[in-house]
This record gives sequence, C-alpha cells and structure tokens, in this order.
Amino acid sequence: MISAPRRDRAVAFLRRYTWHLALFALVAILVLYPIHWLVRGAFWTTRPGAPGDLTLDNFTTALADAETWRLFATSVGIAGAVTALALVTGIFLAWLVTRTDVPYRGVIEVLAPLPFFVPGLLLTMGWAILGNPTSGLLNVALASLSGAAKGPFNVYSAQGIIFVLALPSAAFVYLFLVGPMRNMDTGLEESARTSGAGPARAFLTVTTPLLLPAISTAGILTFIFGLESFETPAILGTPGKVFVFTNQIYQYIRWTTPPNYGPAMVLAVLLTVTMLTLVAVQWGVLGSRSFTTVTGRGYRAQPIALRGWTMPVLALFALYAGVAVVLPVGLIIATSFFSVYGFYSPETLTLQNYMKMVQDRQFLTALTNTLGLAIGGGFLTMLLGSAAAYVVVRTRFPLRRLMDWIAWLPWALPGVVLSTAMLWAYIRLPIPIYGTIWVLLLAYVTFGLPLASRTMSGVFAQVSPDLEESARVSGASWGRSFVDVLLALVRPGFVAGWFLVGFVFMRTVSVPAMLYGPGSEVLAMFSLRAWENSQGSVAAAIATLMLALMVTFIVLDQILRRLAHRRTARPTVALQAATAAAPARFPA
Amino acid sequence: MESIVLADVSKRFDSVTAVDNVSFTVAPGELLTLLGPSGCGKTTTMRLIAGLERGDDGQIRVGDLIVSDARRGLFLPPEKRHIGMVFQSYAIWPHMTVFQNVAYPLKVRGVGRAEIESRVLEALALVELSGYESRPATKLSGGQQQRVALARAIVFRPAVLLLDEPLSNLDAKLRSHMRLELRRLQQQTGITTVYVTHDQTESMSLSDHIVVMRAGRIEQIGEPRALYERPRTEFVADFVGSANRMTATVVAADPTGVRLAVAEAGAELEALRWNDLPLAVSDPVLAVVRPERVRVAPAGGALAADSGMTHWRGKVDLAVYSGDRREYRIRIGELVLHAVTMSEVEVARGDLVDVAIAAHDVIVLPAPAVAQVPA
Repeated sequence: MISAPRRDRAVAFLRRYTWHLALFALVAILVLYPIHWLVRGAFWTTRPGAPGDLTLDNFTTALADAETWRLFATSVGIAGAVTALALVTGIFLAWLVTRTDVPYRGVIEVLAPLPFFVPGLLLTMGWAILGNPTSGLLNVALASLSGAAKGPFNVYSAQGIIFVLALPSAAFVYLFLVGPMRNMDTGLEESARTSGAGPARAFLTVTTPLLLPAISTAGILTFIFGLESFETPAILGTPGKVFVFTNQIYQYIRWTTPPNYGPAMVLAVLLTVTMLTLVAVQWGVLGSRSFTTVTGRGYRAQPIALRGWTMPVLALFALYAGVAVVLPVGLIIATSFFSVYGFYSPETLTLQNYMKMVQDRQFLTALTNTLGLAIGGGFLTMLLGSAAAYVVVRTRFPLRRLMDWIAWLPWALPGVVLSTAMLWAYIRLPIPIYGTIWVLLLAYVTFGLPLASRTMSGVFAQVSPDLEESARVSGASWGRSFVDVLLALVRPGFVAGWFLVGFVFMRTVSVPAMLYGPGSEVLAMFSLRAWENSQGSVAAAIATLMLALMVTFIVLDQILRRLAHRRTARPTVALQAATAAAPARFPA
Repeated sequence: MESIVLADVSKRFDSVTAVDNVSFTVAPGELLTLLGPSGCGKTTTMRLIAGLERGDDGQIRVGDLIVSDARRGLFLPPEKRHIGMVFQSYAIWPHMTVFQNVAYPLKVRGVGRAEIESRVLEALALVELSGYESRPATKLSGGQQQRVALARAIVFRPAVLLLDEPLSNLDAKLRSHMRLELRRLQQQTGITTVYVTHDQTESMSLSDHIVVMRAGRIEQIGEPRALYERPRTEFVADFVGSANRMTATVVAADPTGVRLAVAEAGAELEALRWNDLPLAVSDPVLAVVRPERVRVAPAGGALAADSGMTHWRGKVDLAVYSGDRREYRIRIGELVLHAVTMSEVEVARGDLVDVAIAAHDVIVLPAPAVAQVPA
C-alpha cells in the first residue's frame, strides 16, 4: 500500500511535470529502445524479428576468432594514424594562423576549415579515382613522367584510408584549436617571459600545458571519427579486403546472403563499447580542467616572423588545400560529365549521367526523400532537441540531467551501429514502418538529436533567464514571454542549428546504410550503391548534385544571416554558439 | 501607494533554506533596503515578492491583495502582481529598441497606441533618456541600460517597485550619481520600493528602513542611523560600517552606564547603557566604536576633559591622508584602534596622541560566542 501523503506527492509531481515527463518518455524511447535491441541482437540466435533464443555463442565465437582481433587492431591502427596525422597538420595550421606573420592570412582562414565540410563520400570517391593503382589519374600521370609501368599509389589500402580520413580530420583539429589558441590570454605567456623564460621555453612550459586539454580533446574526437567513419572504408577498404568495424558490419548485413546478423551485432556492440570508453576518457580529460585561458582579450602578441620559410609554408598549405578539396571535388564534378570514369576524352564527354538521373523514378524518390529528411526531419529534430534543451537548461525537472544524458547518447553511436540497432528495433514493430521513409525519419531524428539539443542548450544558455523574468514582471504571461522574448531571441540560433542538422542529414551515408529499401532511398546511399555497382560516373553525378544542394543551402544561410544582422541588433552570439557546437562532441 | 507585508515567509532550495521565516512591512511610499552579504537570501526574498519564486511557507501581501499564501496554496504569477522590477543585469531585451523595451509592459496590458506613446515618452523623460527612443537596446552604455530598465519598470505605474542591486554594474562615479537619481525618482513618484544591495553605503543613503539579512534570517530592522549607531548584534555592527572591536569585562554597572575594562589597552572605558542587555560585574562583553567617533589630538591636552569621555594615550602606527579625511592606526598597549578624522587633524607616524571616546559612542554587545567555548 502506498501511504496517502506519498500518493498525493506523486500526483502533484505528475501534474506539475506532465509535459516534462511526456518529453522524457519520448526521448528515452527514441534512444533507448534501439539500443536495447542492439544489445539484445548481439545475444540472439537468429535474424531480427524472427523467433529465436538468447545465446552467448555470438560473443564466444567472435572473441575466440583471431579475425575479430585483427579487425580491432586494424580499426584502432587506422584511427590512431589518422589522429596523429591530423593533429600534426591541424596544430601546424592553427599555429600558422594565430602566431605567425604568414601572408594571405585571411585566405588561409577561409580555406583551412573547408575540407571538414566536404562530404566524405565525395572526397573518398574522388581519391578512389585519383589513386586507383592501375587507372588512377595521379598514378597514370606519375607513371608517364617516370616511365614506370605502374604508378606508386594504391588508395585501396589501409594507408589509402588513413590518408583520405586525415584530410578532413586535420581541418577539424584546426577548427577546434584555432579559437583557444587565438583567445589565449597573451598575458599568461608574457608573464612567463618577464619571469625570465625565453620564447621557446614560454611556449613549452606555459602555452602547451594550457592548450593540452584542448589538444587532447581534439585528438580523442579525431580518433572517434576515425573509428566510426563508414563511407571511406566501404569504398577504399572492402575491394582490397581491408576491413574495419564499419565496413565489416555493412558487409555482413548488406552484402552477405543470408545476412550474417550474429557477428555483425557483436561487432556493433564492441565498437560501441570502444567508443564509450573513448568518450569516458574524454570526460576524464575535460572534467578536471577547464579552458580558463580563454578570456577573449583583443590584444595580440608579437607574431613570429617566418622570413625564408614563408614560401615553403605557403606551398605546403596549397598542397593541403589541393589534395583535400580542389583535386577530389574538381575531379568528381568533372567525372559527372563523362560517360566512363577514369578515362577522360572529348568523345566520352556527355550529359547522359544527369539525363539518366532525371528520368530515373528511383532517383526522383531519393531526391524528394533527401530533401524531405534534411528539411522536414531537420526541423523535427530541432524541435525535439530544443524542447529537451529547454527542459535541461531552464527548468528544475528532477530527471533533467538524465534526459540530457540520454539525448546525448546517440552521439556515442556510430551511424552504422545506430542504423543496425534501428533495423532490429523497428522491424518488429506492429506498425509497418520498416522499409519505409518513416523508419529513416526516426533514425535521422535519433541521430541528429544530440547535435540539436547541444546546439540549442548553447543558445538557451546565451539568453539570460532575467530576460524572460523581466517580461513576466512587466505583465506578460508565461506563454507570451516565451514567444516575445525567448523565441524571438533563439530564432537565429534555431535556424543556424536547423541548417547544421539538415546538412548532416543530407550527407550521411551510414545512417541509411542498413535501413534503405525500395521507396526509401536517399541520395547519399543512392550514390554509394551506384559506385558499388561500378557506375562511377552516375555516382559522381549524384554526388555533384548533392554538393550543389549543399552550396545552395550555405548561400541561403549566409543571406539569411546577413538579413538577420541588418535588422536591429539580434545577438549574433547565438549564431556563433550554434555553429561552434557543431564540431564539439561535448557531453554535459 | 501600497504597503508590502511579508509574514513568516520561507523558501527552501533542496536542503538549503534560502529564506528562513522572514517577516517585515514596507510602509506605503517608503524605500526599504534588504542588506546583507551574498547568499544571505536578500535576492530570493525580493524574487518571492515579485512572484519569480514560490515560497514554501508564509504569506505576502501587496496593499490589500494577498499575492501568495503557501498554506492556502495561493500563488499569483508575476504578471498578475503589478510590480515593477529592475534586474541586476538590467535584462534589457536585445532584440528591441529602447522604445519597444519601455512600451512592452503597456503593450501586454493592451494599452492603446497613442497612450503607449505618450507614457513611454514620459517615462523616458523621467529617467532623462528623451531622444533615445529608436536606439537599439544593445547600443546603450551600462548607465543608459539601467535607466531604460528603470523606465520600463515604472511606465505602467506599478503598485510597488523592486530594485535588485541596480547600481552594482556601474562604475564608482556613475554609481554615486545614480544613487541620488534613484532617490529623487522614488521620492518624486512616491512609489513603495524594495531595494536589494550588499553595499552598506548605498543602503544608508537611500533607505527609510533597512533590513539586514544573514543566512536567510533577519538580523535587524531599523532606520539607517539606528542600525549604524545602535546595532544589536556584532554582525550588524561589522557589516554596517567599519568597527573597532574590543573584548572587555564589566567592572561596574548602574542603570544608565557601565564601566568596562579593556584588557588589551590595559585601561577602562565608559559606556552608556542603551540596550536591554543585562550586565553584571565581570561579565564578558564586546565593545564597538566607529572609527570616526574616535577623537584624536596631539598629546598634551588639546582634547577637553568632558565628563562621560574616556581618555587614552596612544602612539600613531600608521597615518594615511585621503583627501577629505585622514585615517590613523593608533596603538594603545596591545590594542590597535582605527580612527578617521577630518583632514585638519594632523599627527604623524610615531607621534604620541590623546584619544577620546564619548560614552554614548560606545556600543556594548554580548561577547562573541566563540570566546565562551569552555576549555
């Protein structure tokens, strides 16, 4: 029996937090239900939705298999190498921009982050064409120069994967570090100087330790990116039998008949555990230290003169921009206008790839789906993320911390794993949504939830509660102050977040990888399938179209921002907070 | 003009009692200050009046209207209380112009366009911001934002006005100017005002009454002068103004006066009895004297030997000239006495001086609890 006062309190609690609890339930079901099936699937004897038993066999078999451990070593090795390369390049770039007298600084600052925004699919296909051991343009060019029969590169290898993944990662490290390095209180370094340390010593004993939390966080995030990357191993690894977690899971489920579910699920769980471990390490790194060095003082220290190094440094940067953006993107755009990829002559020049696309009903479905998911799905995700963020930041709902954590959880799940979990979870739902666009929508919303809620909690945190409270004492009801003050102030941040989420939705290949079916194709997956079916030119054409869509969105976003700036004084901080939250994978 | 009455009001956050059984009354048209260190519950008390927090106990009345009563589960939301409030951060809406900010309270009340216009202009004139109507709120200095916040708080002619540390974000010059401005405005409009601050100078010069708070409780309520000259506790004596604190023992006591032995000084001190503290011979007490009540003169009888005066001989340890006054640290035996005098009184470091303290300037308080801990 529950005693009367306790029951009264429970009723009061339910009445007070009805909406909070409903939201909590929605978030929890959306995130935890698939994760539950992910874990359960790993202990299941048969395929998803089929009758079966719980078993440990999947694990015992996998853990006893040397192949599993080799796969683990390959994955970790690739991620580690990517991290090392990205850190060296990214730190160098950030140092160049913030501490030296390098010319064309403005141009470098615009170009350096670009590789981070080039879709992985496009970058990888571009390099697959450039670095193909026999027909790769780079190889052919180098072979004809040197007279050798074969070019030196084989991009279909672990090294190839590392190289391609390191390109956007370096830009990410740069993006992550350039802020802290620029805003670092120069007084800290200068007081080391006046205490008697030389410039090198001051940099090593003061600047570096102060930046260490930022650097190690950037490193861990890059490592995670290397682990969860899907399209690059799928395109470059699978043909050469280089398997990491992601392309192996994909191989088991999508390219094996009947699908090999048990081992795939075990790998998914192992990958998730590895990711969570890394995230825990990142928490440990961040937990004990804070970036108190960031004071935002406008004063700049004397820049380091590059002198004779100026030209070599500029050449190096041009090389980076070339291999990370210009070559692959240019090549993909070019390829889309030729009938056979890899062989470019005036005879093969054609608009056929596009004509074929436009006439293809499947393509049109994929286009509609992609736009619908990016715009509509992005909006839904932002709504849900905003509601969750609002409850977490602005209310005293007792479960708010837990909800924050759950909403963040999908971020620790690689897209492939989330996709696999969704497959298990929704195939058995009595509502027949499996194989439709709606299951993709659910998956995308879940996938985008962490980004949306993180972005919006940053935005909400920027709006002081005083602003709402002063509206209340001015005579506005809660609803009215919400609309007049809070909504009005967070709208730019919301729109920025919407663009961000839409972007992520448009380019993701891994989330739809296990879930697409007839009628629920999306462009990214459509392009990958075309590539896998040796229709490289069609794949390039689709990728080009996606790129065009994304550029359109960026231009639109920029125009909107300009307009927003012109109209009185909207706090641009909110916009900055929204965009800054993008690369940061911070838990609460 | 309305009164504000708080009766046994309490507010808990989880296990912390932020406001503990607080009662006081603000008479119509007066300005009352809630004074105390940070975390004493003064801001929470104000937020309870505004309806931004919901009390766990007690009743709050504004005029005849009960705005909250925890026992009866009665709680009027802030928008129904007709209270003007200026936030510490000013909380000026950055997406609106000055005019829109000030007009907002009238707009939500459905006041007609023409009347909004005239009343906003009137409010802006009152805070001397005429001509700033179309200025975006983010393009204002701190002092201007403060004025906009004030205009917004009074434009709808609220029953009472709440000010939460409104001057703490201004620089020193502007602060003393705005202090006088606030007082002028408050007296001109006659609006009942509650003012929260941790700055005792501010509270002294602004208030009709001061409520000194400490750890959620009221320590003392009184007029500024009463609090300054007749504090009832060591905390109030210390927090309101600066104080020379001397531990002493009662040597002799009669109904009007008391003679104390100040061990550190190796001398005795005459004091008047003005509070109801029971005193018997050999009781330990704390004697408090304000630095500016310590009279200082070069040794040799320049100070008249009035009755009811204690005269001590000391040596100047430290002399500081600060323009409008001089500050001294004077050593008498083991005792170190701070004195603040007019600039004319000039003695130098190392000089022997005469020190005089009038009996009515000595505040006799119970000895601090720590001193009574048995061995």
